[in-house]
Amino acid sequence: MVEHLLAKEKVAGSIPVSRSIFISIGRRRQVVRHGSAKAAPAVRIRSSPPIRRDFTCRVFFYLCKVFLMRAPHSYSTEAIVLKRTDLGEADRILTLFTPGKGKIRAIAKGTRRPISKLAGHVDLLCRSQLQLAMGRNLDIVTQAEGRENFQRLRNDLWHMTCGFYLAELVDRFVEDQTRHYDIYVLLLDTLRYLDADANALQQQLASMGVNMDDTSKDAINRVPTGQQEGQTRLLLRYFELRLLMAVGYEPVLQHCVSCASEIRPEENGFRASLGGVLCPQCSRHWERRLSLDALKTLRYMQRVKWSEAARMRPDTRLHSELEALMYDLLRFHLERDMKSWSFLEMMRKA
Amino acid sequence: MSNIAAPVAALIEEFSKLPGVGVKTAQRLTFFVLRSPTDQARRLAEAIMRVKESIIYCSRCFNITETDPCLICSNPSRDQDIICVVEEPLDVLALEKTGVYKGLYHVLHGAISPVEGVGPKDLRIDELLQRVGSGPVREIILATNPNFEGEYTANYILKELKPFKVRVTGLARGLPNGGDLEYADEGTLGRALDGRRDL
Repeated sequence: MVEHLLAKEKVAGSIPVSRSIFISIGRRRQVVRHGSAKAAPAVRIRSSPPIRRDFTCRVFFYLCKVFLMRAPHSYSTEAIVLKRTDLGEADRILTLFTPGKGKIRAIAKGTRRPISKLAGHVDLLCRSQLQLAMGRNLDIVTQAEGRENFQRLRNDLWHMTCGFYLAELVDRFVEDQTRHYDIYVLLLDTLRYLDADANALQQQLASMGVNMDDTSKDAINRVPTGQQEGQTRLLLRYFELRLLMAVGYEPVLQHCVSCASEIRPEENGFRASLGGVLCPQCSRHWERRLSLDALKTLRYMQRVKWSEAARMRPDTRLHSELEALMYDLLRFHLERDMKSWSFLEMMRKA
Repeated sequence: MSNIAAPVAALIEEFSKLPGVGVKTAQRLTFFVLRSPTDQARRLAEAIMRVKESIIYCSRCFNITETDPCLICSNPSRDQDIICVVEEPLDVLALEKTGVYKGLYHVLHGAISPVEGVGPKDLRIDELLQRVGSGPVREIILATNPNFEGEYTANYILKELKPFKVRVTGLARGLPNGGDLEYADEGTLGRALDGRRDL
């Protein structure tokens, strides 16, 4: 065996230096580890003392590990599915939002087939634990296990539309491969609030004596539209504001964006292209009026968590004012309209 | 491609416009056509032209057909009071293959998707409502795909059908044949449990 190894070691001379060292070290370790009787002479043949050589081996192993070993081929991550596009016969390209890698795109193979093991776990707005294999262009989803699928949100048209809107907002505002842990947490929390709101609506229906067993969707749609929305309109404004803050487009609400004077408790103005509030002295720059209530609501939402902001009860007029103002801001930063806006409008009118 | 004869280059270019076909595949297909018997090439050309010239949408169910109304709509032995709403014409084929369903269909040609910008006006939903309003309909089966967009479409149609006082049902959700219980998602498994049956 020793002769055989030595003969091989000679051949290793034709291999590049670093690799031949790696091979010889590997063999020596192999011989010693197995502890075979014939292994001892192989070690003694070498000229340098065993302790020094052992140290050299360790250093080379470390260097090889650092410089020569390839990066792992797959990784595991949690993700929320933002978008799905059909690809080929049965595959889909998923736009995933992950806590560690930000927004990434990956291929989920065979997910349009009924017996797909992945399909149920990679539906839109599902939070799943995914195993991804690194591909040349796009990564490939190899395993998926659902964590939360927000089932109650899926029973109601208004809440579903809100979910679509959140996904579109994040997809538009977040750059690929850029980590945004705060936005991930914000999206997840908002989806949970939406889910809880949809559940509260169902509970409300149950208390009204509507049978929820077999016609839950139909029953929900029988509730007056205003009650269906609940606090979700305010929640959407909160999400928009927090998202803008997280990506660096936070509107200025404390002082005038033109003359920098402090904003007083009176009716002020607002201009999306200037990025904030304008005082009455700078009214020539006003794009729209900003009521005191709207200003207070926005400032409050900038400061507090949703659990506190949710206590506010804005009237319809204030809701509309806030919505128009936030839409102005979003439109200015995106330079286009959001596709979901027309759907939210349609659902509200219906 | 200047060295290749113009008709060959033209065919390669046309083939490469097909979905999933690159230039190399287009070249292979072109040379296959070039080497194949004249009859076979003519049949291919005629089949393509026939699809474009003779296929129309059925004025009742909006399925693809050669005659209007389509064979399913004009079949008197089928139950005229039940309409199954599907997303695509291929879904009709899949349901017909089961041989279980004996009613009529309504093809929406897509599903509502705010992210993709596909709204209710882009689909044949208004036509469905007109159909329900004009004729005696006993039941509507919403057979949209069991995903977020499909459920959204079904919910929307359900809301729109409210004034018509017609029975609206949905396909059962559960475990597929050949599937694994351990890989089923919680939504599917929950619904499968809800819809369990006595054996």
